[in-house]
Amino acid sequence: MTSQAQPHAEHFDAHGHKDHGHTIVSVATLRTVLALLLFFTLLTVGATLVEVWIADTFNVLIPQWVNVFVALSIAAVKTVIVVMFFMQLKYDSPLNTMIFVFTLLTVCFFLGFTVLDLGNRGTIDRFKEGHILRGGTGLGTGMPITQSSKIAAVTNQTYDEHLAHHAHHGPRLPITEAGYVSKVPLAGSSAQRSKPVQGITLEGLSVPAAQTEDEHGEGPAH
Amino acid sequence: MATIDLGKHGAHGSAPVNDDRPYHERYQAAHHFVDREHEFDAVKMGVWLFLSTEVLLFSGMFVAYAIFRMMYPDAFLSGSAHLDYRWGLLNTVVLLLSSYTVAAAVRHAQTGNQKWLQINIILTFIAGLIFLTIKGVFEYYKKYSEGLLPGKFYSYPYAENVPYEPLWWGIYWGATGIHASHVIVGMGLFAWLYVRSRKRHFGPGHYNAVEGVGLYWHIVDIVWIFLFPMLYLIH
Amino acid sequence: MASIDLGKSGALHGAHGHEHHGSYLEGKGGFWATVWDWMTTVDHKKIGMMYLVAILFMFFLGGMAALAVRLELFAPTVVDATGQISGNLLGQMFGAGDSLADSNLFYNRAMTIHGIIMVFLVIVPSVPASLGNFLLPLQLGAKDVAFPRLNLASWYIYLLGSFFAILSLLNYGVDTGWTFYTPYSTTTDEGHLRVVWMVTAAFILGFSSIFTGLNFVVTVHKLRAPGMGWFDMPLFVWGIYGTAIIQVLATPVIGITLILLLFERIFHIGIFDPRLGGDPVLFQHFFWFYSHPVVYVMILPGMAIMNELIAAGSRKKIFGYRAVAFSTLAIAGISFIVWGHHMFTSQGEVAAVVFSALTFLVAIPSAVKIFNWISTLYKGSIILTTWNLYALAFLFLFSIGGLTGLFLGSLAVDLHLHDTYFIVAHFHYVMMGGTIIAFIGGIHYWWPKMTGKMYNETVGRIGWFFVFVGFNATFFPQFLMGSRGMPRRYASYVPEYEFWHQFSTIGSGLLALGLFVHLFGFLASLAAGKKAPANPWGALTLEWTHASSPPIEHNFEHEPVVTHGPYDFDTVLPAQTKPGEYSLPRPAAPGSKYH
Repeated sequence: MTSQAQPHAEHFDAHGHKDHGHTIVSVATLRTVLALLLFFTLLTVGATLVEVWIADTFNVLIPQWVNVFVALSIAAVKTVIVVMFFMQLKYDSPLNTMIFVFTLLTVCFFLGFTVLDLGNRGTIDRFKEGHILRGGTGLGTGMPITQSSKIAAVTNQTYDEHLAHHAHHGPRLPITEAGYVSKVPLAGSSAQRSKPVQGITLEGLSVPAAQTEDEHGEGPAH
Repeated sequence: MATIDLGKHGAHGSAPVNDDRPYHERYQAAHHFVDREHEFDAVKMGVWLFLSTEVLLFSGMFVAYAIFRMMYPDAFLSGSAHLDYRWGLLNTVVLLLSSYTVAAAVRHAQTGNQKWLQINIILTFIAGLIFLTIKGVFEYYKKYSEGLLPGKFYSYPYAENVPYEPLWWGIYWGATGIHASHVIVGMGLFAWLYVRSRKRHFGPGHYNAVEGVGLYWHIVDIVWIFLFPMLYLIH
Repeated sequence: MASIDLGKSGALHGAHGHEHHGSYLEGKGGFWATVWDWMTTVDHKKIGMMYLVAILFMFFLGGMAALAVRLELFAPTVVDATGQISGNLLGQMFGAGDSLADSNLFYNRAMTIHGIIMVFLVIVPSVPASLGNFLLPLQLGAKDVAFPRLNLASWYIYLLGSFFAILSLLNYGVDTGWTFYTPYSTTTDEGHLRVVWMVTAAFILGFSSIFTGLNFVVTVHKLRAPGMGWFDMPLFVWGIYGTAIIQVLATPVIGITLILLLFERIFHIGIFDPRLGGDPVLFQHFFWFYSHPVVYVMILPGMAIMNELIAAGSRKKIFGYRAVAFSTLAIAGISFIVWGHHMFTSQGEVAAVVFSALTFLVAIPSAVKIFNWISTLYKGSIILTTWNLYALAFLFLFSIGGLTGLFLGSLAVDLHLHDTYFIVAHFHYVMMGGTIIAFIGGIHYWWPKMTGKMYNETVGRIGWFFVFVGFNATFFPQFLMGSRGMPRRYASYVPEYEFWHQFSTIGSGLLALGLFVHLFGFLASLAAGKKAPANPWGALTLEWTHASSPPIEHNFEHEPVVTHGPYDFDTVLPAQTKPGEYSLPRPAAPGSKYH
């Protein structure tokens, strides 16, 4: 009538939970782990002292990342043995290990992407230093992008040459005959291709006296 | 549709009139659990989820630390030089020992050794107290009197003109302050555990609370395991 | 009939709970006894209902703030040559009509309080705390959630957080926007505690969210009925489970963010202040690391409800159960690595490109769900009850919201659309057109189960009509305005946008009308609604097949054993207890294979 006599294991499988039997960690294990922890603590202090000693005695500059890497590795090892033995994750349901691992993964994403941003400020700037390229990237010509952009700015040949080979249409329409009324000089723009104009394009504004080109090599119209 | 015998669901955690077994033997799991084993597993999982929130809370401080150490290594170097690593080392050893005593306390609860369970709880509490004393008296007070305070309160008279050093102090005080507040909460939990262990609440069949508080304390210890080298051992 | 073994504790206590089979809503004898019972209850159903009432009340407050915002935006604020200000309707209402700065300040406070109430007090708790709390144990065949006392604590923490938010509101609230961006939130309003109160409120509410999530994760893992494996659970549970995972992992980060914000504001530690070496964009990283996953905390429960509504509303098995289940986990996982798409105009270019690429990933599982729901509708017997109308509306509105999210995920396009009304329209389409629409649908669907009364279908449909038309009228013009450059969080605008703003404001009036119709419908149902049968919709999940309407205190008379899937409409017909009990099609003919 009662189910008192039923052993745990077979009754509760449907819940997805198993009887773990409450592992009792031995005293020897606990003491060993403590000893290891104390040893690693002294090791991490020792490593730092050694680092300082080496830097002073041999007059070398040890990069920061060495210090960080050594410290974090030792701390990671200590954490693993605390988690596995003191917190008994080794003897526990794998679900709890998954919880811990996913947490660490989340922290890694947080740290990784934030450092990716704040560590890469200004990385793109040197690519933006050259002229803004007109008519194509110039990639595939083997030239650095800044150089090919300068050539294109001067000659304006690349795009036109290509089209001249493959053009199937008639002569290019001047843009005004396509119905567009422009307030600014067109400088040879056509309906098929616009040619940007240097200088002030809005009426009523004037160029600031001292400024001709800013550091990016672009004119004041940019 | 099958039905399940309601035997195990009958009791609601209260003791019948003439059962004078100790609490941990007559403890019945809450009615929505099948039995104590089920409840123990669920509680443990719940504690691990809570610990993951604690880890993520501290991770914010670690990310801030990482960013600013990356940006201003000199400020961190000179700031860390003000910290005496020996106090940090002592605190680390104290916390590691307390981790041991708490794991031992869980073990004693599992074997039903009431006397040593209580002793270990007290030892852990004392370890927390020592940690806070060292922190408060030998570190915080000294920094406070020298003016090595975070942000706008920074007023160290012998400023070495290392730019952004108050930022380092903000990270230091913030990280150790939040950690210390968790130590205080932990000590409160151990006091609660001590009171309950005097009433013989814990034994081989029921020691959920000891396990849970123990896990919390280990996380507090792990955070310090990382804070110690990251704050005290920068070179 | 099971024997009732009284266990070890003897006859004295064995009878508890087995004699009293009344519904969970029954009073405990006397008014004050009932009040005390509700205040100290650990019954998930009662806690869910209390949350529901609180959330609907907060929704009302947030809606009033929204109407205030739309009122201000009805006319552009114009200062003519003599210095006379016109068009600042909100400022005039609050006696600041003569000062442009003051009336703009009122607007900023109104839009901030609208955001804070809606995000932290309404949408984040909405479905999980109310419907989730009520339904999770019922759908799993359990008696309660894993930690009922933690559930009650969660409720009181929510109340405490709301109290702090209201406290700040009564002190005229904050004007930082709900995102509390630095340096504005750390350097302005010196000497007042408004930002501090509001940030404290958000911090406290975070704990409520964490504890609810924690509870649900353990409940789903440990308290399923015998026979219910992971892939036998209703998809509503999957959705709530995914939500709960995000709540546990993401919410602590907003906790530390708000702590650091308070440190910055009070102690000026400098981590967000460039003058001291900090970085304001670092705050944005911290903030959005939580706030992006939290938008999935908002939408996943809405999608969870959708599963139930679509299946029951077309009387058909959900197409691709496992795809929907795994896409829930995929959304939960990917949501953690895309937060930078809120910061395309402020973070560095390298990170922006990476986040933009990753953002496209998160659209895939959402689209999988939409396609699966549409496939479920195909060849189903679609009924046009209020809740199914809401489910159909969700498909339309969330699709628009989701697609526009893709536009915004493209880095180059977002540089133009960021901080315009396009963004406002996008997130309203997903948050309101998605979650709130699903929430209202879910309330109507489970209304008979929760209250034991039927709601009036006609009233519900009228409400739906005004909500649907009003919602689109309010927010669709905002896409148009935003793509033409109307910035968000502005109290005024150039006259070119006036027509669209007025259209939008009138739409918001219609939307409010529809919501009030629903409020009336709910109250009328409570007062005089027909008694609801146990399973008016003929659904197949455990709360409908094994629990009465409303359920008894311990949910089930006997622990349910699961013998069929939650959507096996093609093979199972739920038992009828009385002829003609269903208001829907149509029991199988006698002698058919369904008996």
